[in-house]
Amino acid sequence: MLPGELFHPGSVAVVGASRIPEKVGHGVFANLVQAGFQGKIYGVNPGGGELFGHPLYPSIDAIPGPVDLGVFVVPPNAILAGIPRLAAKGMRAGIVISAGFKEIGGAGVALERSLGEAAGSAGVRVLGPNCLGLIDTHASLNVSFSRGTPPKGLISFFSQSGALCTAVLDWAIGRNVGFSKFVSLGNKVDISESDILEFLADDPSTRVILGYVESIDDGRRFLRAARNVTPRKPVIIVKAGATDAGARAASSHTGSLAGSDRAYAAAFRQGGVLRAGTVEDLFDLALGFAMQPLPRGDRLLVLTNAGGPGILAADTASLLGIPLAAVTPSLRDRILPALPPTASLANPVDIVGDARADRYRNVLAALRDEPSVDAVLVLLTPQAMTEPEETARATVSAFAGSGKTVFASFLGEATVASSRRILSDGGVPNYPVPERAVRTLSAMLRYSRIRAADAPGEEEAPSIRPKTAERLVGDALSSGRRALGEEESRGILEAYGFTFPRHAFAGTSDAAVAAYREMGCASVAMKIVSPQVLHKTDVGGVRLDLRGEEAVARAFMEITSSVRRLAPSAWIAGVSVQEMVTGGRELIVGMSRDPQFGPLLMFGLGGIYVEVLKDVSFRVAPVSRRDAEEMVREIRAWPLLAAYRGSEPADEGAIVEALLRVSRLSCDFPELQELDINPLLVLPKGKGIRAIDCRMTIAEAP
Amino acid sequence: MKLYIASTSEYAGKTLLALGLGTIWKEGGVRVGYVKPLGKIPVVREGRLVDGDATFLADALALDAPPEEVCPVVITQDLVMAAWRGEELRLRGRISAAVRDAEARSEVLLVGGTANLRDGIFLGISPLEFIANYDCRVVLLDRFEGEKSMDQVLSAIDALGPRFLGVVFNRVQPAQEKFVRETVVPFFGRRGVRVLGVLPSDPVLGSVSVRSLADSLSASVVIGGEDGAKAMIERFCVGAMDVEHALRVFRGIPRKAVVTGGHRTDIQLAALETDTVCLVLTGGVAPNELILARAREKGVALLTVAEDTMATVDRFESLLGRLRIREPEKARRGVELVRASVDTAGLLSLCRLSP
Repeated sequence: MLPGELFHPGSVAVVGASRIPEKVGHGVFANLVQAGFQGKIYGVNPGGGELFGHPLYPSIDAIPGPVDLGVFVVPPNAILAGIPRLAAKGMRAGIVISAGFKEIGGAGVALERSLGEAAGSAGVRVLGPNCLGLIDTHASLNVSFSRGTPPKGLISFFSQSGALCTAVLDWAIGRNVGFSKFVSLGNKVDISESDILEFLADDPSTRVILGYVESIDDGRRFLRAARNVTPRKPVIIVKAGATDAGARAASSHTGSLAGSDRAYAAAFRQGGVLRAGTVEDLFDLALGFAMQPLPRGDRLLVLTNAGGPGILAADTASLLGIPLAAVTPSLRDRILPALPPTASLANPVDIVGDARADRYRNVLAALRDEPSVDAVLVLLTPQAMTEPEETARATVSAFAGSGKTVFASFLGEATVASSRRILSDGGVPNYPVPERAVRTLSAMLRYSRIRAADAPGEEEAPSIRPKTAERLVGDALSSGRRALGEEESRGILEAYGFTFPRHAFAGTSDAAVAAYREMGCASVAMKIVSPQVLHKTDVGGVRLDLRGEEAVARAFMEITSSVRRLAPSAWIAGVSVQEMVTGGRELIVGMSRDPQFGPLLMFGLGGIYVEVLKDVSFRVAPVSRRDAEEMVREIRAWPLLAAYRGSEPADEGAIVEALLRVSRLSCDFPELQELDINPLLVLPKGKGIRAIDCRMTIAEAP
Repeated sequence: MKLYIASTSEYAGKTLLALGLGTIWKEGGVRVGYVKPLGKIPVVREGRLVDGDATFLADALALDAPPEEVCPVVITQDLVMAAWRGEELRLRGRISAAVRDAEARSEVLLVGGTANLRDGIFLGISPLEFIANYDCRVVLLDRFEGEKSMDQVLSAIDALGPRFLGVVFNRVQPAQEKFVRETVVPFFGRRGVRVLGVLPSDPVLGSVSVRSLADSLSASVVIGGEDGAKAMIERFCVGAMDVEHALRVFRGIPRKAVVTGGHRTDIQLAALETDTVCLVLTGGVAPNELILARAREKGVALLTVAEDTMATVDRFESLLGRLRIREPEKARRGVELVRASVDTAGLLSLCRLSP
């Protein structure tokens, strides 16, 4: 838990306060003084003197009173020396603005480690290093080298990029958007995004949390923190490095291996975090959440003075699955008298180009109390008769305190500039184009669902034998094996309740025929058994649906000859004869351990759906039953699992069960690095699933 | 009593077996000697031309013998040219003097053979002739390769005649062990061939130290890693894929060296995330500071080479799987393997029973 002194100190010391205006230490001190901080301010500068009416102390020891918060704008070695001395004066929190740490590599890495150790042994929590600083408008605290302080508000923002912090600040000041807290995380030697999330969850002056992250070091802690805060307030994050190129850039920039973007996407979803694709989206969503109440329902009414923008809004709503409210007869009766005959009374309601403010006002008044409408989007295009300012005022006053969710999109620039200010001062977010307003509504609706959902419970998968699996994993590890093929990993999955078709090993074609006879089933599949062959089909190592002894004997010969030819260095132990399972659909269930988030489960339909279309869903384990159900339904090919062209629906319950078992297995065994069950056959409803092939990678648990 | 250690191919484990037998028998109070009539690894040591393997064994077994007695003939360029020109080589005298002296000092004299039963004929020192002339007993080593071993071993036994005592199979993979035990050993048993041992393929013996890797690659050692470049590399892999795939591959391979381009920071981080002993950065690129810091933190060695990844991998491939025992850790491990997997006592009594 972060100390409250970080945001609400009684006294602040700026180590490195400088009288030279070009220096960062000057800017930080100026901001602190000019933001109107009410507590004690101490500047430390070896030259002494005075700055903005405050005396500068030649050393930390010369500071006459206790210090709650220390801000460091001096070279790294001076910081290391200063921390224990300020801690002796009561410092609980420190902000290291200075650069010259991990980001420069070499000696900087060692310095950063020393910084972490110095802070830890002094009992001080540290923000940074290499950061812009921190602003809390409610405490009139600005200990950053930002240009200016934003207006007071309810949005809080944390960022791993200092540069982005300055951009957001500039936007906030320019657009007069109120902010509560600005936190620049820098290199995150100590305080991370998870600390900030935990703190802001309980912060009464924060209603919306925004974040920019490049990498999250402890993904599992982040997920816990997010799950804890998102039921209370929305968290919107831009995650940089979503593409391979971006991830590579992030790796080189932060020096930590960027986990797969899928893991971030899955963790955000499971943690209830709204992910903004761009910084623009982040702003758009922030305005909506900060200014407007959450929609009570999803029925949107679009009011416009022109056809085109109304259609664009309707298109976007339809794409995002937002229903346009039907115009009820009673609403129609109430607005009809105010409108010319050319107006359209369908939704979008088009009150046509000559609409002045009073026409808007009359319709808006009717909408305010209309129970069949949950959200309203007011569109305006500047035409000859249009009165943008008056219309903006009408929009603001119509919905104040109504509980309805209202957005505006006054299109254009020159003639609507002042009306935008009226809207934003009145608490109605305005968007330059209607699509962005609708997307914001969509995010707010998604958040409403997140908030309404029950906390996911832990599911106990039945009939699991961890002891057997423990022995098998232990045996494989002690024999030095890492990549386990089907023969070696089957037992581990069986211990976790997976069913495989009946199977037998055959070293010769006679043995294969004998195994076939003993199984007494109509047809069998045969697969090569060789530790060097991981992709059996690539070397002709698989034959399916073999009927009759002759076919089995021939398949043995074909498989072993083919592998001998195509993989001459592989050791051929023999062939596995398996009962052929028919009438199922092929699935893939996998797990790969993400460096930041831990086990990442994967689900998809086998064959082209996974390989070509990449139609797969991901979740971070442990998954709840609801997560598992969502995983199954999230893939685009899901309808193929339901009844389709006369085929029976697949046993979806068994798939969910399988995902829960893999989740449990991955969490029980940190040694398990990768796991693939491919194919996993799902049979018609009630008949369960069969694992057909599998492999694993294991390593000594860290 | 002379025991000739013969093999069916190169890198079959002759030095390993000589080291094991010598060490174990010495522990039992037997005076063991070693001689290698024809050496193929010329090394100049203290101004004298010696054989690398023979010198290693002389040290390991603490033989009190001058190097030219341990290995009287080392193949050099001059020797090869002389043979081509048909000059008189006069090697037999040197060899017989060495064998005579060594034999006088030992109860059992281990004779290190050539890679197969043909090597040396062009110098006039045929292995089969040597065995016959000196009346050696023979233990045969075979690097197990399925049915190919059948041909190799049967043909060697045929050539050796009654002096052959038994065969030892080496580098048997875990997946082959059951087959060797249940099928291969009985097969030779039916033909009256004694299988004296089955040595498993071993990751430690197949490993190379960071130091020798750096030597072989002419690499600069930027970070020595654990114990100053003494750490052992068991496998290697190439990082030329996307990072997610890399993580998948890297996890499956323990105690490895990863060869990748100096600019592939993402691959390097992925390698550092998994069980990696050594990073080999190619292309003469100065390593990223963050990578250096991370590698130091994790105790991973870091080498840089000027060549590109392709050329470096070529060098690697010619290195692994053809390794010689030199490092003390490998020597210790080798003796333990021989102790556990070879019937050393049985072999000793066979030697003693022989005329």
